[in-house]
Amino acid sequence: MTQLEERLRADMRAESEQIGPGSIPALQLPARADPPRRLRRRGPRLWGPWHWPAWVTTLAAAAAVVVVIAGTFFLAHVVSGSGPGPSATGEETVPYSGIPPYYAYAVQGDTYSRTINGTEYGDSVIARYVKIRATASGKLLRTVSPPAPYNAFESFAGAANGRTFVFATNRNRYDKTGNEYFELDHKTPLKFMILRITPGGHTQLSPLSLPGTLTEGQAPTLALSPDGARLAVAYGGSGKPAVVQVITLATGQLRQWTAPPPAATPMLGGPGAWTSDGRTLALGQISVHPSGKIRSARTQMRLLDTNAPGGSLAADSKLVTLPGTDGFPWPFITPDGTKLIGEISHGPPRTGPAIESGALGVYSARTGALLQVIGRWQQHGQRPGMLFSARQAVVWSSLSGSRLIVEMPRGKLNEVGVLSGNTFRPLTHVALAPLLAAINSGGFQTSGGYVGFAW
Amino acid sequence: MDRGMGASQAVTAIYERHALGLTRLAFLMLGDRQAAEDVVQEAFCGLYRAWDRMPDHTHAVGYVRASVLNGSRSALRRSRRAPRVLAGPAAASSAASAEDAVLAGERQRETVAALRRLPPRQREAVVLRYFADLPEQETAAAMGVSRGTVKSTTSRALAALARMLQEEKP
Repeated sequence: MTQLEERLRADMRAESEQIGPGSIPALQLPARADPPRRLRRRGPRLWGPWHWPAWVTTLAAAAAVVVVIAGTFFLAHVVSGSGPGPSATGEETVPYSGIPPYYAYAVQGDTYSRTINGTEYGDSVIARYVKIRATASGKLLRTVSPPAPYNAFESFAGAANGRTFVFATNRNRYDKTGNEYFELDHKTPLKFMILRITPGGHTQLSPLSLPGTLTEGQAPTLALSPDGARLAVAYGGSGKPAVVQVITLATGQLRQWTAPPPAATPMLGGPGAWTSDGRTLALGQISVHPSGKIRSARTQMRLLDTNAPGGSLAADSKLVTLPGTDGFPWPFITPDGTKLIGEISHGPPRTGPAIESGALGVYSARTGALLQVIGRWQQHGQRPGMLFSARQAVVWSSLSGSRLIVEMPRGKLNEVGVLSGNTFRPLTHVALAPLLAAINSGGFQTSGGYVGFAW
Repeated sequence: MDRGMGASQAVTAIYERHALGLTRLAFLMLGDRQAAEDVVQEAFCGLYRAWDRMPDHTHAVGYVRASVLNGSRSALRRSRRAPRVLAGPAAASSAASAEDAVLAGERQRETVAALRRLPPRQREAVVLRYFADLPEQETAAAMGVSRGTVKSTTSRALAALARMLQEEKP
């Protein structure tokens, strides 16, 4: 073997070892294309999009989606023998019904990142793009990259209409070896983009100008109003003034609320921040001591009336404290504005054959009283597939909260699925499902190496 | 592979054994971890769909490897440009270190950057031969070309790499 061949072998091996054992996502197989043989004579196979001729798929995409879903559940019922077969359509049998048609996600692929003296080490510098996929089919609509020289996504948000997404991009500095570490750029103004999906499924991506500038150092969080017309931005607090802005995207009109120090840091959870009437904005807040220690032990949420002209955050909002929660400040308000939903405290994950458990609390938005506990889960032993600890969070809600899309720890992953009461049904057509092991639904931070997505 | 075993179980078992290596292979081809994982997932989904039609499951690994290469080619065509990070990002530090680790990292970066500048077919040949350690025959099967084409492609790739890396021709 020549010197060059030896070098190639060694360097390719070293390069490839950025992908470590145990970091590969679980295989997520599609609904079976072929039904069990005993069912094959029953007629057309309806439960696999790959069985439709291309022209049928093209002309009847929406119908095919319904057929695929119905077929999938038909198959599930028949094969398991646990049910009577497909019943009348409804939210229990067609989990995609009423759910936003598209979602965006970004994957960092970062399983080993660590921060030393403000510099982040690890493999999280790879693959900085966001993909837009159809919720029901997993079909890729578009891949969005930051406009050069920007190279990272700071955060993004989706509107409840499922057709509008806003992206905040940042420019980070990479070291000479490309994959070893990068430094966050805290000062360069973030660049924003907006993506709209037409009724025909076409995407329109354009730059978005906002009044004023925002930087990574301000750690802004975002939330789009349900109609995609207004963008809420929150930042500051913890020694600095807390700022909440609501920007009308078409005109650039800005309303701003502030709270002087010592104000808690206001945080927007993206998908669950707005009520469906576009009036109330739910903000989580977190109080951080200058030492970095988080002060609040319970989740506090601030419900802001965005019809107010702006001014004092305290005067135009109501503070609600959620008992039994752990202070994790990602808010979620049901679109009808009646309930707040949050992760109920559970003990820190232990190593070894221990048990992790959790649940979601449904609280009155008016009083903060706990109304219901749903989606209980528990895990025995270690879950080697988990990149981070188990996490349960709401990422979408029907009007009253009777049906939720949640991240749910199951097996070795945090799966995404529909939760109705205590019945959880994975969204198997969410193409990313097997990768959602490390997730932060509240406007993800690329620096943390999270998987993030917006519905 | 046991025909009696369900397709799901069989494909999952193959995935558990080979996903890491195939993802690394796709990563070397694409320079993008997420894209590599997507390609591998797609390849195994394809294997799953084709499972009942396959006459001989002993070739399943070869089938899925070829699928990964096909998927990588498609992804490269779609991207139409070299991956951002691996194409040589701006330096954060201009100070060269004498540490062995840094030098090794620099050398590795140069090798990978040169690899990424090869045409996809040449890159495939190099990755399959020197990373996956496949003999010429299996490389030919994975690439869907003749053994002679593998030889000539590999030879051209090594010559190009040698030029790029300013090394002696092998």
